[in-house]
Amino acid sequence: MRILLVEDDDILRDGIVVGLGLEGFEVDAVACLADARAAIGDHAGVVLDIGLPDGSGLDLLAEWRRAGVETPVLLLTARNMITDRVEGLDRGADDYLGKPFDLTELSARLRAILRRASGRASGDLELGALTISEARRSVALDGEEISVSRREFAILHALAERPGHVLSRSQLEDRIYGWQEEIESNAVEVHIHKLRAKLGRNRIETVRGEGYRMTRS
Amino acid sequence: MTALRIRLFVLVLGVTMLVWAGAAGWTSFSTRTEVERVLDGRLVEAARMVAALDVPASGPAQRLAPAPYSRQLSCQIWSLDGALVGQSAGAPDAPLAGGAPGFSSRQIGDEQWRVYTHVDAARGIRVMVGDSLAVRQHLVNDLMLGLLLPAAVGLVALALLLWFGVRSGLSPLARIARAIELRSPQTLEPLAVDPVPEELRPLVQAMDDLLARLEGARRAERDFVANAAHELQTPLAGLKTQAEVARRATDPAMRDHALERIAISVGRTSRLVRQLLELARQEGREAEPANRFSRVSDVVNGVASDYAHLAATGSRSIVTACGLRDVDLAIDAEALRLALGNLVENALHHGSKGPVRIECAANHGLELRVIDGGAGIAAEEVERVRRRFERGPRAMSGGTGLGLSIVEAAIAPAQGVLEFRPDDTGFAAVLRFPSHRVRISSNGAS
Repeated sequence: MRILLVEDDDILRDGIVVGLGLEGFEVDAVACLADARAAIGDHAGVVLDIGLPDGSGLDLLAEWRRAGVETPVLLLTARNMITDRVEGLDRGADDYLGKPFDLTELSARLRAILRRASGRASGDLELGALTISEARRSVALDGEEISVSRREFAILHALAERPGHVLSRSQLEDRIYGWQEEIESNAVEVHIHKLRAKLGRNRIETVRGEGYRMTRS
Repeated sequence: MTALRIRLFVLVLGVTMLVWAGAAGWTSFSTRTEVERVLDGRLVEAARMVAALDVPASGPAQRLAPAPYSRQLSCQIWSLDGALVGQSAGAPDAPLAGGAPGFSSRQIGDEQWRVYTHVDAARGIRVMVGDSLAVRQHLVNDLMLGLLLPAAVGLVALALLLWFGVRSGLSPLARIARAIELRSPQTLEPLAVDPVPEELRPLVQAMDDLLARLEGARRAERDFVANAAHELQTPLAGLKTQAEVARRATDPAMRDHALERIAISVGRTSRLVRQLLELARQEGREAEPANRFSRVSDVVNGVASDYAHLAATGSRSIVTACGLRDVDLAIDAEALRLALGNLVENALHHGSKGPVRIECAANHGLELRVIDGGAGIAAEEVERVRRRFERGPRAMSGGTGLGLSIVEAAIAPAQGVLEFRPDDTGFAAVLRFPSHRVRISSNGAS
């Protein structure tokens, strides 16, 4: 899942990028409002600091919501005032977290708001005999745990979120790779191939000329 | 409050009683004189009346019918040769007076008499009419009592009215006192007492002003603490996150990277704490006396050598152009060093490559300029960067946003101000001090 992080403190920014990486997120990080405006795109969610050098994150949030950007947003607030939190939520934030916070809490909250955004309440995706646990980033088939790599999990999760919905190769690349990463031209095909080998051929279908989709059962 | 009320009451009552006693004394005196005069007149009249009666000059003494004021008046008729011709009932047998005509007083038995003697030589009689002084006194006393008793009762009523009057007159004071009493120690709102009498308005005004100043100071302190806490949250979050990354790192390079970040962050955070303490210390300073001088060139050279090492690590240098060798400034040397040092540090961090120059100039006072070759701060940004915890848009990571606040706090006690202006060779941060704090010694000795 690709996340946009807007945080001006370089050490915290670096820590969140690496830490969320360990939790299975791809994080694009920027340090100011101007960069965030330019960067927002195909991200599953945004972690937004309020106090930024060129203005308030709350203003950017309101601006995005007015412009119809519906990406879930988690606010990071240093000023743990109720009014700040209330204002943040009222301006369109989905959740907030006061600094300093726990990395595991940040990632759990992120997973929760992303889940809600895709219309689900449970942290586990179940498709017939296949169970995908977001929190543990594990996949089980008929109750047997199957080991998958980080990228494989990300692709499987993206497809499993909306079974029957086709995702193109570039959409999948956007979902699983950050900006700076070099992407091999056939990387997605390779991951899909490995997933099919582990889960059985029929779970992921190729739609010729369009992309891939998950079967419903 | 009660003391004031009692004081006022006692004062008013005392003055009233003094005036009242004076009036009573005067009334008593004039009443007594008047009564004496009237009664003396009556004696004369009675004596003449008796003399006009047809009384034989000699013969056996006869008792006259009691006169209308028999209890008060006694009458004796003597023949000129000293025989008692007649007397009123109740009159003593001894002569009332010596015999000379006119008024006289005499003690007969234990009674004091006031007597008028009328001598009628033609008829050969001497008429003496006397008043018992005790009776007279009694009359005067009754009269006085009749006059003064109502007044005395009035005095008690007056005291009562005064008491309530004073109390209600001082009720605005009581209201203010109650308003102060009812406040919780935390409230610093203005006293809400309305209406305030004109005499008390300056007091209430002064109190409200004081409260407003206190409230302002307290708010500033609260804001400062809140801001300081807020400023510490982000580096703490960074430390915590990096620590967690280090703990969960899957390979040594990742762990080393995180630990390195932690070390940097600890350094920055301790600098932030140091600057917070510095700012709190500088802000607590009183206005400085204008007679304790520091040698400007010494401070400038000191700062230049303090920061030489920092400058060298960034391949920069510090150049001093302080020709004013014998100029003293009325400022604490440490404070000036701190202010100048912060500006030099800013210049080293923000300015582009090239030396940082420290210049002194006597220009309607004293100017100390720290000039770097950088682009400086845009005019519209100046107000923002002066604000506490605000960093410039191109600020380095780890700046605290407190430097300029510290500079201003350090020079404020010496009436110094901080200005920014573009310079021919770059951008200048200027410390300006008024001329009355500058001393130029001619011989260069300190």
